Amino acid sequence: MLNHYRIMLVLCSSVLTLVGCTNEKAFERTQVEGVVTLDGAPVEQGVITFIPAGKGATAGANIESGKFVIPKEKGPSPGDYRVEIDSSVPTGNKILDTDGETMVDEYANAIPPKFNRLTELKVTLKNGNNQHLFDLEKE
Amino acid sequence: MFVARKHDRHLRSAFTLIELLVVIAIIAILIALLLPAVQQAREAARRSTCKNNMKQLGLALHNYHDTHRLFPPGMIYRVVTSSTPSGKRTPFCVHLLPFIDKANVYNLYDHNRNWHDTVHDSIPTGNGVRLVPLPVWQCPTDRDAIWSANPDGSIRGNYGVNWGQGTFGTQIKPAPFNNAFGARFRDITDGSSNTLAMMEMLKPETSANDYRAWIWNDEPETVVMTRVGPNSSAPDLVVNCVSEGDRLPCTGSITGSGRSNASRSLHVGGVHVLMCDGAVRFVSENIDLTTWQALSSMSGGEVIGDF
Repeated sequence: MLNHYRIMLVLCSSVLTLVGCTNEKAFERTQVEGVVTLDGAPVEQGVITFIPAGKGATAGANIESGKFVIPKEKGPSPGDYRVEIDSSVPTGNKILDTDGETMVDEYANAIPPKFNRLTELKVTLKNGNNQHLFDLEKE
Repeated sequence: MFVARKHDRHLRSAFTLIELLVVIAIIAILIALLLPAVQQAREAARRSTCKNNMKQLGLALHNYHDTHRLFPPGMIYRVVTSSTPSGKRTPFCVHLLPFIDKANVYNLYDHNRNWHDTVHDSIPTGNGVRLVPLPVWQCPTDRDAIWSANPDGSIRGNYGVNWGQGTFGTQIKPAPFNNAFGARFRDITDGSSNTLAMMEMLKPETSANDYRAWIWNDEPETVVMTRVGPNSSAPDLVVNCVSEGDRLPCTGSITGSGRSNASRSLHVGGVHVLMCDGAVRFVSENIDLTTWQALSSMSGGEVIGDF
């Protein structure tokens, strides 16, 4: 009987050791949340992207009613980041849709390039919960 | 004495409950170890097919280069010429058709018209060839290729060309594919082994009105940029967005040249990429963004480490 228990013990411990093997090169991640305003008013619909200046994960989230949250499991890494913010608003014009037949609304980015493609926004993220307010001014 | 003998024999010839339980427990553990392995073997087989399909496209690109002395154009997106004042529009996949054993389909395609001019034609007249399945463009880890919501149906695929580090309109550093442009090998001064040709992308749901991975189109959503890393949570900038949670994050209503999509896959830990030399590599989603972007430029002169 004692032998059986020994066999069981060996099997169980080998299973536990196998489970312990994981990918250790994965990015360290952290949570970010915050508020985005343009000329004082919250950005209704948009997107925020965190792009690493050095090593780290790229991450982003949609902005709704001025707020965004990136949970830790999909978040950026602690470190220096560039931030890109985009928000599309209808221009009032109509353009041809991809089928070449129907007309659809044309949209344009309400956020100036200095906050997205040519961004000047920089943040340093730390471990734990990061909270950031992005108060954008067009001028 | 008789009773004692019977008792003796009983001890030798049968299992006790504990012994039985131990045996069952061991079998259970073995099955628990084996089942995930079987599932992983299935995914490994799918991944291998996925990789092989990409390799075929790599060979097709090289054969195209041998024939035409340059890579096929990334797409022809509303290019205004004297014969097409409203803009010429041809998807990327059309150019590769003769090199993936689809010359018969290619011959049906009317190059004098835009791909959508005849969208209401049925198979196989006119540019209804857009409904012919292209199995070599499909990664079996992902879902079916048919897009049912598009009025006359269309085909999606999993491999998109490398369109640089920025958006559709601004590549930042030149990539081997651009609007009405395909590089020659001599343009790829970073070395064809250090430059991406194609990356994996994910197909939206069959009925979803989302242009991503729509290979039979000339929209920016059908190519891949390295603005963000592979499998990132950063939303893609697209015109029609059906995000499906973590699978295909996006933000909609981005029209024109501001659109940008990341490389995505369902494989654990990364995406497949095709280099310009025809090699297919698996790139970790934990790759440094600098390296990832350096790989997408063809003449940036960057020194690329291990990836």
